[in-house]
Amino acid sequence: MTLTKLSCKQKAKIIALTGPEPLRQRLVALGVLRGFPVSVAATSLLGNPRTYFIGKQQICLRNKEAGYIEVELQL
Amino acid sequence: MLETTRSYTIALIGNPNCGKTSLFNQLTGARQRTGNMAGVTVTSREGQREWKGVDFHFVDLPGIYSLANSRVEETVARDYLSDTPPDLILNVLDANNLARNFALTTQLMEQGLPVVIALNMLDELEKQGHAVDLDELSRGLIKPVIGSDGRSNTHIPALLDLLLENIPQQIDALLISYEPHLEEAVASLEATGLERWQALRWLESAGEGVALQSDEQARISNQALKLLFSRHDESPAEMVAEGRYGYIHGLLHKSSSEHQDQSAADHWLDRITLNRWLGMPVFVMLLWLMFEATFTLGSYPADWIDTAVGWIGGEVGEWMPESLLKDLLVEGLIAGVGGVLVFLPNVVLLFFFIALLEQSGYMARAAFLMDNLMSKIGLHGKAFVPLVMGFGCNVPAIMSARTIEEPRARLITILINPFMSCSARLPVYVLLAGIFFAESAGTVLFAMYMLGILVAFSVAAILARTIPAQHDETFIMELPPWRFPSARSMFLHVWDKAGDFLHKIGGVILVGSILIWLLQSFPRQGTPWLEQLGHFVAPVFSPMGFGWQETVALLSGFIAKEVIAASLVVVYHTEMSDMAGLQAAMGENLAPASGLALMVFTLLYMPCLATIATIRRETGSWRWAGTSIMMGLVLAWFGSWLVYNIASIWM
Repeated sequence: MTLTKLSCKQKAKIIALTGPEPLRQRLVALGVLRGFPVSVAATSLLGNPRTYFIGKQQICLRNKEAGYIEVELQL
Repeated sequence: MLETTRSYTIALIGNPNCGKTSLFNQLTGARQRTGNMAGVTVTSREGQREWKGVDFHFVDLPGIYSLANSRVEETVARDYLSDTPPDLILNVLDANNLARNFALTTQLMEQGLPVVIALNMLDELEKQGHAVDLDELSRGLIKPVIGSDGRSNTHIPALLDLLLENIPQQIDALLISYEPHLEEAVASLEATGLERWQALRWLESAGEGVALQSDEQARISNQALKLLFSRHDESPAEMVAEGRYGYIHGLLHKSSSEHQDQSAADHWLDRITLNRWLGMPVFVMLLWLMFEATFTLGSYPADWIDTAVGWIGGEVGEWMPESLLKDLLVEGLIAGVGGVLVFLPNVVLLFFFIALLEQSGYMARAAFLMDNLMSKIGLHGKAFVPLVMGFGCNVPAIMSARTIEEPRARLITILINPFMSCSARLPVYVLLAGIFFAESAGTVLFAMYMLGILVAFSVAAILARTIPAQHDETFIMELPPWRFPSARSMFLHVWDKAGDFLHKIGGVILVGSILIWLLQSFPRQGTPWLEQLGHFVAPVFSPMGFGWQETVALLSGFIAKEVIAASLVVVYHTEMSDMAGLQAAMGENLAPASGLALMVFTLLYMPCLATIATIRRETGSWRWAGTSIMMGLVLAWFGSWLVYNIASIWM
């Protein structure tokens, strides 16, 4: 599933980045990488954008970009 | 080694929000901005420091995450390093997010550059019960590592000594082993004559970060890149990053007590400010509080300045003999400059609050909250902040648009800013609403602000559809950790802004005041030029029912919008204190519909001189300043014409 489908309080792990190459490079530079733990930190009023805890940081993504991040739920 | 004065260049490099600029300030004593929103330092800044007979020349490069991306800041930093290699690089790291900060460090070390590492914000890390073994880290990296703190100066001498010891530095380029297929690609690029780091950078930027020398080189490189893409789902950027993070984790495993854990980014303030339902109300309340405080607290010192200026004017008027020079001094210079000086406390307070929002980390949160609304008009969240500031004064608001990275979004934000009704227009509304709509003055006032916002958003929506975007407007933003701003840096910031205000804006106002005074005072006999001008231009405004008096007032408002109210007072030959007289005179001369139209015109027409100068400076061309003037005039004319005609039917 993609990061947009992740609901609050769920924990997940990034398994792949898809989407255009410049976006991937940008995400990688920010330390958004395969294997990193991810969870939803905050949701704006209309549900887009949202912020996520990824690794040790909080990152704000619009759903369009978050849709390019494949995650796997962690139990 | 030379015995005469030696001079070395040291470049500061680090991620955004790592405290690099604060450290730069400590090293050089330079006064400059250190915001907490990604990308505040757009161009590099420089400063000097003498230490033990050596001249250090410090360069503060923009905050970047990587040397391989093709964003403006990254290109600036990369070009600087290759065109004018510094004697030493001071790599500043946020100790709270070491892994990501080290990713940039490994790029520098792979390139074989001389590096000294400063770990910033160790105190925050220690507060969370973590520790980093600096010696162990230093041994692992084979580079000097020192702890630093943007809030106290105690470590600066040790840091300067360390810098001195490391020129020149013994360098062995860092060698990280990557995934076999990637290594294969690197090897084939190296065979064409590229250095290993160049090969890596070319691959991780998918063919951009390095300029290739020959067609043969390009052919082989592209072939290797294509092969790599066909063998893996991951892009080379990810593969390179994974290799580097592997190296970094090994390094940190030995030297750092912390493990994968998300608590560092989690903060109780976020649970309120980013709460789905509370976030917006809290945001609106904070803004309201900011304006309320700016204008109520600012009004006391403003009164003192007003009194002081009045006193000086009075004294000069009394002591100087009757002459043209005296008129120029009292009615032109002192009245004009004094009239603007009055706004200094408001400007200082507004900047104080905005610096507080920025340096604490709230501004990035506000950008997150507003993003959805702003995306509807081709902007993203970060653009909302300058718009709000525009209610205070458009000049600092337009300057604050520097925090927007994408050029088109920044341009739109600058161009629509004058429609946000600044505080200088308030006296005009108050005056006119009091005369023509005494019973519902508050409603009319609020309607003016709303109309301004509506026009700003409509214009933005149109501009977004006509100006092509320079690059993809992805809105990926790191929310910086909450930080308590240091008193020192807040003071430096506000001090700097106050100086700017007095210097640059003061100069423009000075010239403008003299100009208006000249037009009002000459020729000495007969009709003053200003009145002649009013009669000459008046036909343009007659469709709205304005007389030559209103025309002159609007023309003088070009200098600064406050002047409109003052001009009306002068041309109707009443005293400021004699409000009833002015109201009677204007009420007789002007229909209520014209009064409303005059307010609309004041709201929308061309920005004041200082704002135009700022637009020119910030966009770098007269073309956009001219566009802003034309857009304002056209919208104001048609807007007020429309309002006049509609209102004429109703009233």
